[in-house]
Amino acid sequence: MSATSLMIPYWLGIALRIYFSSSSASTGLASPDAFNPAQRVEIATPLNAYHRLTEGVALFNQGLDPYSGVLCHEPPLFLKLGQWVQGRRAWAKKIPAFFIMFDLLTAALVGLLARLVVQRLLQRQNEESDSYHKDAAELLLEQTALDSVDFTAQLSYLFNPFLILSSAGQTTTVFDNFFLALFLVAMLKKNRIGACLFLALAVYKSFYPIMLLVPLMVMFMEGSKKSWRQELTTNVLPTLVIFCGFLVGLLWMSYMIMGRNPSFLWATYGFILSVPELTPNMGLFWYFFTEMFEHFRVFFVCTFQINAFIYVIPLAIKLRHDPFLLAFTLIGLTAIFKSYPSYGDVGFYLALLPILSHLFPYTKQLFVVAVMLTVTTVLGPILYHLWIYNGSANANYFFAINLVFGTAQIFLLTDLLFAYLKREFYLINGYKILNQVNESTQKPHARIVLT
Amino acid sequence: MPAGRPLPSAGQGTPGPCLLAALMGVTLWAAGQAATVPSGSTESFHEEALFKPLANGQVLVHFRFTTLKADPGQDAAGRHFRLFPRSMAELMAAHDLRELDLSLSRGVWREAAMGYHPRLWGSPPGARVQAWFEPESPPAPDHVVQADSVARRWDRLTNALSGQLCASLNFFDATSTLCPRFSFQPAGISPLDHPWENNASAHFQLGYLPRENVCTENLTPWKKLLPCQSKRGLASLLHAAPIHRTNHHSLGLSLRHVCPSGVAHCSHPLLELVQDVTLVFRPHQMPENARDDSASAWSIRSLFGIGLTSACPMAESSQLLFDVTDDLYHLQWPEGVPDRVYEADGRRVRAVHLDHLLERGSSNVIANYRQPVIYGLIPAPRLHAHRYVVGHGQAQGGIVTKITNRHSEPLAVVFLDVIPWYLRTYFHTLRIQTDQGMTIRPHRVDFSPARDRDRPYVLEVVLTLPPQSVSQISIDFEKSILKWLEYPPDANHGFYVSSALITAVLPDRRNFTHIGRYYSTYDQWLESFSITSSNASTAEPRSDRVVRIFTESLLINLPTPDFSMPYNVICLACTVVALAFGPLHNITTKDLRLDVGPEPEGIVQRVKAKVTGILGRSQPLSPPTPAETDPTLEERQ
Repeated sequence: MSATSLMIPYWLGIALRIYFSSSSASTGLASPDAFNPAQRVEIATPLNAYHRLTEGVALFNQGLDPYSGVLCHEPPLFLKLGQWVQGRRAWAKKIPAFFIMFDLLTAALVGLLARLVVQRLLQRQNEESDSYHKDAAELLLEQTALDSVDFTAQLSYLFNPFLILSSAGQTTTVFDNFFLALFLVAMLKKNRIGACLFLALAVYKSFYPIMLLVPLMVMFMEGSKKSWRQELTTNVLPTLVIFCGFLVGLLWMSYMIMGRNPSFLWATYGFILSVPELTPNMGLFWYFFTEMFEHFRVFFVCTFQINAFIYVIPLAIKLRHDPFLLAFTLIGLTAIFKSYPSYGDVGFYLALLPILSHLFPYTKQLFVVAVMLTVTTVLGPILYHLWIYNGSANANYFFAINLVFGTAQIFLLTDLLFAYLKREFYLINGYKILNQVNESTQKPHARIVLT
Repeated sequence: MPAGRPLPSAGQGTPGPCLLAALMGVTLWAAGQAATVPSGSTESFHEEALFKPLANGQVLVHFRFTTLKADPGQDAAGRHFRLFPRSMAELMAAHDLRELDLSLSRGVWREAAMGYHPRLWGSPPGARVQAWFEPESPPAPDHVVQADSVARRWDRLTNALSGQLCASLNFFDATSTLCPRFSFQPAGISPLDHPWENNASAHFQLGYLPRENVCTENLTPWKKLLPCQSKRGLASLLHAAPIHRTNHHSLGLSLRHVCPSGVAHCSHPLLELVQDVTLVFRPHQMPENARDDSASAWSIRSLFGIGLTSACPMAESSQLLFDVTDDLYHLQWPEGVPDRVYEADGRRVRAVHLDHLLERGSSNVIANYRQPVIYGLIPAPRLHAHRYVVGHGQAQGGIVTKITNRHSEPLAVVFLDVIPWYLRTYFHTLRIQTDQGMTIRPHRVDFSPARDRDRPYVLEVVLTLPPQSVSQISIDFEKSILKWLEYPPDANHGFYVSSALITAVLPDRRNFTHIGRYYSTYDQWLESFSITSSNASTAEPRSDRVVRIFTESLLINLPTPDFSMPYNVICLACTVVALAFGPLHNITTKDLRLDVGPEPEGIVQRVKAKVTGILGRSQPLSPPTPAETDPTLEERQ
């Protein structure tokens, strides 16, 4: 797609973001505004809310340790960045533009990423075409897919309502997404140092992306015929060393910025892992731990956090031929199972869906998922309002929406993984295999099953 | 014990040598003492009741029971207790206490209508305890205080007080305790060789329990600390029923060190225990005045239900004081009762001794208003404050404090606000401005952020209020969700936020009711004006013009979870996790295969298949794998 045809969507995307961010401009906390994305619990969580960053900066400016309270959970470098940006009087009105700019950069990166992924798919298809079934020719990706995929991916990023609200609400998830997009691009370009740097930044910001180290290693492992010992020395160890080098560097810088005070570690990563705050959001944690019996709390915190990480290795083994799908699945699972998820996290992986459009024909539940997501997105704020402002509903109503929202995302991810398996199966066996078997055995009950 | 003046003897049952030593000690010590302590006695007890009509037609009655005692130091006389409650002195010794002030009250004290509170430390709704601890002796060379040990002493102290007064003071934990830096200073004299000034707040602890209810079970143990308990004297008026009918009542107890004659320095300080009760009555609502709307006459009998029958024989002085500044009413008592009129402190006070009153056979004093009380024109004090919650809904909100300064000159005040940890207060939303929208730059801002379940938010601001202004301090918060078992039984009643405190040194003592800082009794305080009448009005020391205003406490609703559903929530959330775990487990551990047709039909065949399955010979009946049926698959593999 030419650059000019992208101008209109980009301008529209900017206009939408500015429109929604203008409503978040000046209202304080004491005057709640239902249309202010910066105050919506679905969008702004304790980890990414802009007013929490501002609070940290205010305490920092006051000469206090911003992590001595319980409000600020931004890592020190972002705090410092916030301090620098907010310290400039001339920029006071332009801070929303800062977030919108990063969001648009992410959109451009997603376009680039889409192109890279499809290129890789086509390349792999060419390499493996000998091993495909003769029927499978119709299933193969066309070269023309390359022309439109970056356009659709950018469109889906620019007009994703979750992302529009997330950047208009000035959440720092915008930076999470920016680093993740950079990481994915670097990973697909097989740039180990770049990928490690951006991954270290993403991990530094929100910890959960640490599981994306595995797709990165899988990416470099692909196609190589090395023994596991060689793999360890040429791939795994260097990746780990470079990544840890960057991460330790970032943490050391933070430590120095904070005046050699390591309190930020507990306030950021400790906060993410131990889930002490129970402010409502669209995730599963808050109400679960509100209603939890105290003596089971530690057990269930551990269980839920392990649940977020447990899928990495099995999925890496299963999806070893498609590191992007692996990374996508892990990002999606993180958005569902992280302790303080927000629309920004959900929107990011939903925006990457067009890249996986080759799997759509094999999915079964996309319509159901789309309906569930739409319904929950509409009903979520309504039921929250009924609970908090009208008092005519209670917390269960909003939590039910959270459960359905999570279930919809789980359906989406599992459906895509099934679709991937089916596509691989049909590529090898041909899509007419069921008919053939049914005809040959005279039994109309043949199925494709997981066994 | 015979009625009349107490005998200067030691208690009965004391062994002879000790008695002798005590008497000698008493005599030697008393020789160096000032006039307030009668010769031969180391202890004295004074009881006073001040009756003051308020501008809104209500009547303030303030009882003040003062017990003075030579500092219970090392000598035997100091450790002998005749009038002073031994439990209080032991409390001080056991916890290294320098000063203590405690108040339990119900009902808001409205400065705008009632003037300033007759207690030096004021009295916010609920319970409040503040304590200064002795620095460790010998003091560390660098004046480093073990904050930990102060906190531990505080913990023991509040538990002891809780038992002493039957109040839930043991609920003072770290979440309701603070040590502000600017708002407080010791009320009594403090030894000069101690580093009070440098690191004083480290020895100070202050706690609020705004939800604490005050009731008769607090009054009874409190009265037992008095020498005559409630059997005789002014305390015999303090019955539970009339007290709890009042608009505002507060019980106070304060311990400190003072000098005998209202000065700041002396060689032999006394230990002072002041027990006070502050009551605000509504005479126009009393049955006696029911026939006439404008009638608001009151008498001791109508206020308390009983008259005065006897004086406390232990009391050095037992006085009734009537504030007659505005000359609104005339007092009726029998002819010939000697009374004194003090023109002091900008007020006129008529004082009469209870003994004299009783000698004439009177048990009552009646106040009749000269003309109907006219409401509406209430001259509010020039400094007063209000606090309220703004915002709606159970997610966010804000607290606004409006401080009115009607002085014609700027006034420096210290504002102290304590916000519980579950209201997540954002420091960057702190705005200090006048009603006209002009921002006030504070001189000092001390903010200490809260930690969950550990300590509250404490905001202390030193600022100068512009003349003739209404200034407004506002801060915003988010309401947090607590764990379901942390909510009190009536969760939707709301959560109390304790009063904010405004401390200021006013230019004059207008609207003041409390006495000068270094004085022990009203009598002493009023006398001091007549002694130095030539320069009384000009020489008020700064410390006598300190006023502390407690604002309203607040009630805030937090969002609540559904308390009936823990099991359902746990099950449902786990189900959603299982919805992900199951399919992902399948996807990652299994392969897609072709399944040809259903199992064999018919009962016989099914049983046969099952049996063979158990026997491990499943091979012939299992569905053929795709590799067996599909030649193309075979090729691939």
